[in-house]
Amino acid sequence: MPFISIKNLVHQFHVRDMNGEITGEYNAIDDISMEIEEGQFIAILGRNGSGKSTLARHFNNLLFADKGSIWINDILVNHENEDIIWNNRKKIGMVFQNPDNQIIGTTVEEDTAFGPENIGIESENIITLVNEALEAVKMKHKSKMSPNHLSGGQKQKVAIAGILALKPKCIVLDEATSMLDPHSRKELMKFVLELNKKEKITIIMITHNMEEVVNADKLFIMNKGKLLTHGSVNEVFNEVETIKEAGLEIPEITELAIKLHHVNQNFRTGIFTPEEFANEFERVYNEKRNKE
Amino acid sequence: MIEFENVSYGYEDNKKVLESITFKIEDGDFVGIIGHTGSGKSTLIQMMNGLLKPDSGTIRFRGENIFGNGYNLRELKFRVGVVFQYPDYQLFETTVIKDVMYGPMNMGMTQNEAMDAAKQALSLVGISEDKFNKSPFELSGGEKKKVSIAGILAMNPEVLVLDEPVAGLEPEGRRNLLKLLEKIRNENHITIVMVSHSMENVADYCNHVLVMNEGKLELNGTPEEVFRQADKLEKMGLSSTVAYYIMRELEKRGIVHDDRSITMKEAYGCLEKLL
Repeated sequence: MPFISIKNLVHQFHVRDMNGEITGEYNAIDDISMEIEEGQFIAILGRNGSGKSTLARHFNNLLFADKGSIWINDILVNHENEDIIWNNRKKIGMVFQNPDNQIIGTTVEEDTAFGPENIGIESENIITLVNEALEAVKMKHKSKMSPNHLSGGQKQKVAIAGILALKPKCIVLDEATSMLDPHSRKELMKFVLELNKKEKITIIMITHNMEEVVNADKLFIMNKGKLLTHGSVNEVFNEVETIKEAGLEIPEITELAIKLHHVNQNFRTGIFTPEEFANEFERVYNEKRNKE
Repeated sequence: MIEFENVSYGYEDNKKVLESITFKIEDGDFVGIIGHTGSGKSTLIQMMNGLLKPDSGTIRFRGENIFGNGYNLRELKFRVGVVFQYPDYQLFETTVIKDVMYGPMNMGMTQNEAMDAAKQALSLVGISEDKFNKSPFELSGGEKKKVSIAGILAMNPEVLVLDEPVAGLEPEGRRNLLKLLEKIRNENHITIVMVSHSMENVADYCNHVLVMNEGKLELNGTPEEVFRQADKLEKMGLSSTVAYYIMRELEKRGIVHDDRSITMKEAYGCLEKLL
């Protein structure tokens, strides 16, 4: 049984004219089916407007299907059933792009407590949950601080702590790293990967940065509301033309390996680090030497 | 063209924000400024057109001290245009064309002259006419960035300074924008100064690199000179280019010798022959 199962999902947006009159419709999500297993690290990639963020909002029931269906733990999402919706939102938390738009508390711990308070957990338990969550994101020492004094990366960690305090099964990160500098971005990615490996939390990354997803178990690439391709990192990264069509860019090193593969078919593709690259180069280089 | 001599500025946490900075930028350079958040690079670029005044030291533009007696600082702001990181804070008019005309009008151009200058600048950055009367806020991130650049170009500057111009843009938009800057430099002969987080972008496009760390100018040279000092860059929490690291790994394995590649293009040129 997959954790999340999406069947023929369609999400429509209205097109309006200058006066706000509806003049047409378009499918932001156009007949998408996919399955996500519990504990996986999933990445959904695409350019702006490809529908990836609209899809993300279906995972924790912020948006609902116009056609098709979503099943979470084998329960059909029904926008009329609040119990199911609240239960899903507890299970699946979401971190957004702009750290400033999701921090509401006046101190770090207050902010983290917002979620548990909201679902009516008793105060004593809230204190424990908040402390554990802040410890997990290594922000315990800042718990009395105002979030205003934190860096963008630290704010995103506090946002994640707010979700962890609800003991989620899954975290959806919607371009959560795109406003961070490279250093904070790497650190946040490392942390998210740890949550996935140690805590077995399912991670769904929404991004247009292919370098961030080389550790993912499965990639989905979207374009114009449709699924263009999906598969393992190795499989997807080799589809150079598809990636271009989706407006994405494979890491430079992976591209170099593909170019050399065209020079010598023995050179394997799907390479992500200089060391891996050098090992492969050495192997093919020696092979060629021995033949000569 | 732009010259900093022993420029120091400000104090924060008992450290100078800029400490005794000395460098020269030549006419036609494409300069890349690298450094961590808080290394002083944003302060540095705000001095280039006199927005900030150093506590000590001298800044010269075309040989003249820009804080000297009688220097026309107002005019300098038109000659050295600065594009900040968030276009949302720079765009404020109701339409794209009005936004781009704002600078030229401010310079004293007539309505018609400003309109011509704006149209020319917008066509240079690749914003099509059907967008001229749209609100700047209806545009995509990449388009907004282009409009804010057009707003500066319409004033016909000699230097274009940009703070992390590709931050927040997608791969396509990023490549487009860098190509545009290259074109502006080569065809319109405007000197470009760009703050960047990407070593690859700097290695690919710039001919002169400045590396800032804790308020000091730690490295100053060609991309090759700078990116071959990987140890120093790493000590500052930065790194060299991926191509550089690939070639070092291959050097360790005795496959290449004395290779000087710092871009993927150069690396490919060398490696292709060996397979």
